[in-house]
Amino acid sequence: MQSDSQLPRSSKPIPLWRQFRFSLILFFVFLAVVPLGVVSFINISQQIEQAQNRVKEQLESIVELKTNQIALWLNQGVLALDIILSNSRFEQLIVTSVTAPRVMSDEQKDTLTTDIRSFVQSNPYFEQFTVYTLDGVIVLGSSPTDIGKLVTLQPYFQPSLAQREYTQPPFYDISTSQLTIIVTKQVHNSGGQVVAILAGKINLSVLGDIMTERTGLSDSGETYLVSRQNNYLLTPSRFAGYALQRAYRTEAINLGLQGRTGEGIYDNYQIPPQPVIGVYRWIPELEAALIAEVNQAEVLAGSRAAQVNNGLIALIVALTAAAGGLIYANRLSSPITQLTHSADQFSRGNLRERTHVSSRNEIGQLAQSFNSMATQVELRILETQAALERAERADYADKVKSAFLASMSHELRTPLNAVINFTRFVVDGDTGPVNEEQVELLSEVVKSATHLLNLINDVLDMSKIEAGALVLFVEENVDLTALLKSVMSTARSLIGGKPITLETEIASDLPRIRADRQRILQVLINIISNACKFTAKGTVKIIAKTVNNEVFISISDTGSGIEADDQHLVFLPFRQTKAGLRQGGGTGLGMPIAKNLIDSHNGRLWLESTLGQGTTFYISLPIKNEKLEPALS
Amino acid sequence: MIKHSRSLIAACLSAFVVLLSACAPTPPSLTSTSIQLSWEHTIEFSGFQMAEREGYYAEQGLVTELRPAFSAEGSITDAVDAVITGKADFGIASNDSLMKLQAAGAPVVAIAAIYQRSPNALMSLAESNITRPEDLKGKTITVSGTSRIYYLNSLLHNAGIDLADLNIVDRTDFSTDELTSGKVDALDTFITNEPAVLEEEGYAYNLIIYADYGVDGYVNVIFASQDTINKRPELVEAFLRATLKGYQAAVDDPEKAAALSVEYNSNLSYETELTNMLVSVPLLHPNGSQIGMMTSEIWDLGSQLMREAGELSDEFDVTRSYTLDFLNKIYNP
Repeated sequence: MQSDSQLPRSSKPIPLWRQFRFSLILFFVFLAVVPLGVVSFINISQQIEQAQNRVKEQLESIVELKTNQIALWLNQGVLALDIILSNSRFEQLIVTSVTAPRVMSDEQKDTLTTDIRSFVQSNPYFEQFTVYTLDGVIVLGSSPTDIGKLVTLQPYFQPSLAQREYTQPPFYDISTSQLTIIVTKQVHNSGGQVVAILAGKINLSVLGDIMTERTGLSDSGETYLVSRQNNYLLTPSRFAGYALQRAYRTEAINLGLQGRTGEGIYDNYQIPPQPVIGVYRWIPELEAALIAEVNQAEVLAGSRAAQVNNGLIALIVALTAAAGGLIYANRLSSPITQLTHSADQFSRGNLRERTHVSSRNEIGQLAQSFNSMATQVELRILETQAALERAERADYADKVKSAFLASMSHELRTPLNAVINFTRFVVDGDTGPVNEEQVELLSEVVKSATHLLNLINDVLDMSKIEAGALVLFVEENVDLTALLKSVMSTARSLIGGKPITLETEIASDLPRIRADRQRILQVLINIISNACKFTAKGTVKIIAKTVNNEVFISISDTGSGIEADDQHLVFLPFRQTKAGLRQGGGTGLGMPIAKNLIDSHNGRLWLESTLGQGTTFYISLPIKNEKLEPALS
Repeated sequence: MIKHSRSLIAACLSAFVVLLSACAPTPPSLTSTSIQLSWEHTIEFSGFQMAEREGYYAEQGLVTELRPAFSAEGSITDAVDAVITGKADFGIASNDSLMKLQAAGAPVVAIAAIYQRSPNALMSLAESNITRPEDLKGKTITVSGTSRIYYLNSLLHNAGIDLADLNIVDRTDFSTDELTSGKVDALDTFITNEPAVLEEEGYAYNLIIYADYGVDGYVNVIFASQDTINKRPELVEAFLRATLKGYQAAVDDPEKAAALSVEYNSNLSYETELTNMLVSVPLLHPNGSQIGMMTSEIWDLGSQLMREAGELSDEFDVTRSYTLDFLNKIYNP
């Protein structure tokens, strides 16, 4: 039986995180959510990528559109100059004003100026027209203040001389401090020679209109041009606060201005920079980078809904998995809990406790094993209890027997002693005169009573020995020499008048031993009296000496001896040898008792005998004999 | 264990840092240098201001003193004088005045141009209707110093107008008061300077820009003495590198440049300086050019105009007036 202090291990509540069901729920949730998360991640990544690709494609087509619009717009400028020069009268006037200004009438000059002004007014593509000579002197212009100016240092001057038509990419005009685009066309005289250049300054607001027109662009989208000139904006940002004349540098702008075309995800020019998806293209005619951008947040907004959906699905799956985990954990853990409860009950001593787990799985198997184990344990405990009860009962019977024997010995001996003693009184004549015949008869009574008393004592001893109830009164320093002398005197009286020589050979250094003096004496007297009894003539000899750690005593006689077949009977109770039977007398218990007493002293008793020649009994007793216990085991 | 290894890492790191700091170059002592400006602090010198404030001079191991031309007492320091006498390592002057002094034996050489096109112009109120050189006939105009007379000479000459047809007076008042009060019909100016002031005051104006009529030149070249160029080319290069970087920064961010100029000269207004900076951009960084770059074309034109005005002899070798060595070293290493 376990003590209570050892029990409660299973009774204490287990912390949640160590509980089987907790880890199972966790496991289920993990099992459900992780693959879902991975799938969602891949799904969302793909969606984002698709959305980005869609936007990139869209931006690319917008860039393509804008590029075409720009080309068209620039081409329209050249076409406009063609139209102007297709008017042969006007071309002739120009040629005349260059080659022979002096022959022109004031009227002609006025007409020319009016014509040029009307072109500007009718053609929104141009802000200004000038006609300059091959020396770079402006001879005609929509603005009279231009006449007389030199264009030799202007970037378009040399190319305009070399090319029939030329479009000057944006440059800073010193007098206006504005980025300016000039389209030039050579003017030929009737001989086909170039005599002047017609130059038109393009109205950039149209370009601005093209770029800020946002067809096909989402809310955050914009297109703009960044000039190679100082990385300034050629067309304004659609957002407020971004000056045209400031250097803007982003990945797209830098790559675009290096003449590259491409797309990317990068931070744009805004303050603070916005992550955008952008497409850039180098527009050589404008020496500018055309950028189309859409804020990435807007692109991702679509997939954000998917993200929210996925999150919700993940949540539902996680909850379902948790519930499933809980149910499954309960299914698994409830038999375990039941089993634990049964084991607990069983360990508290409820041996009839059996678990009722019915599952057919391993836990069911465990429960069955537990039940059969419990049955086995119960059986063993019941058997043990029965054995204990039997032992208790036997113990009781033994006690009763001992008590009986003790009382019997007392009850038997007391009257016997009275019989013996009073008879002796009578024999001795203390009670009055007795005759010979009476003495003889009464002596026989004493003899028989004494025999009975001895018989009773032997039976008592034997029964005690058999019941294991014999108690030794162990003394230290038992003097064997003295004991042997006492035995010798007993022997002398037993020999009586028979022709027997009594010899002793007792070593002078015989040690004192640890033993029950009375019992050793009893053994010695028993043997010596047998020797005297069965010897008619000859010698009875006692030898005592020390051999190793033992005292060795031999008592030999020259009596009748014991047949070899009978020798083993000597030490068995109630058995007598043939010689013994012939001799008569004795209880047949003396030698068995002697053997048991010597055995209980951890010694040995044995005999050697030859029929007709004599018998020798040997006793060996340990000197120290520390193991000697007061009772027979 | 973790704690132990952390402290081990920390120990290793600190040892590494100690090693690093032992290896790190100690900052070299900075070289002092100076530039004599040709005017008070304005946006015209934004490159120098930027270079100083943004630490570009320090990057080049320099401490540069920027000296405005006008002292607190109102005296004017001549940059060429200052450089020749060794009071300043660098100076700013117009190419014509520099050539005139070089012809007289001044050992100075131009190393870069701030404005690569001339900002010189004649400014008049719109009501005067002076829009072309021809309109100047019979008008009273005021010009400062002799050098701008060459410009006027050339302009009028090209337009076929006699200088005698104009009433020319020396400009002594550097405000626009004479114009607005009607005392003069036109005055000479930089398009990068006074037009914005007039505009801010609410006047409409006309400009005759010399460069439009082929009269061009460098009004503010950076120069050094021949001695400095010969003996301390590394100083010249370092100074120029930082200064050009300063001008690039100003072009990149005109608003910042304007704000900085106002910090250097509290008499300026931010709006005016911003306008002037935007006007300066095409001069500082014209189409297809590098900041600070000079061309033989403009130097030749300048010397030619001077010869036409009789200010330079035919023997004057304009190629010795300037050197492109430093610019080429910086831009085409």
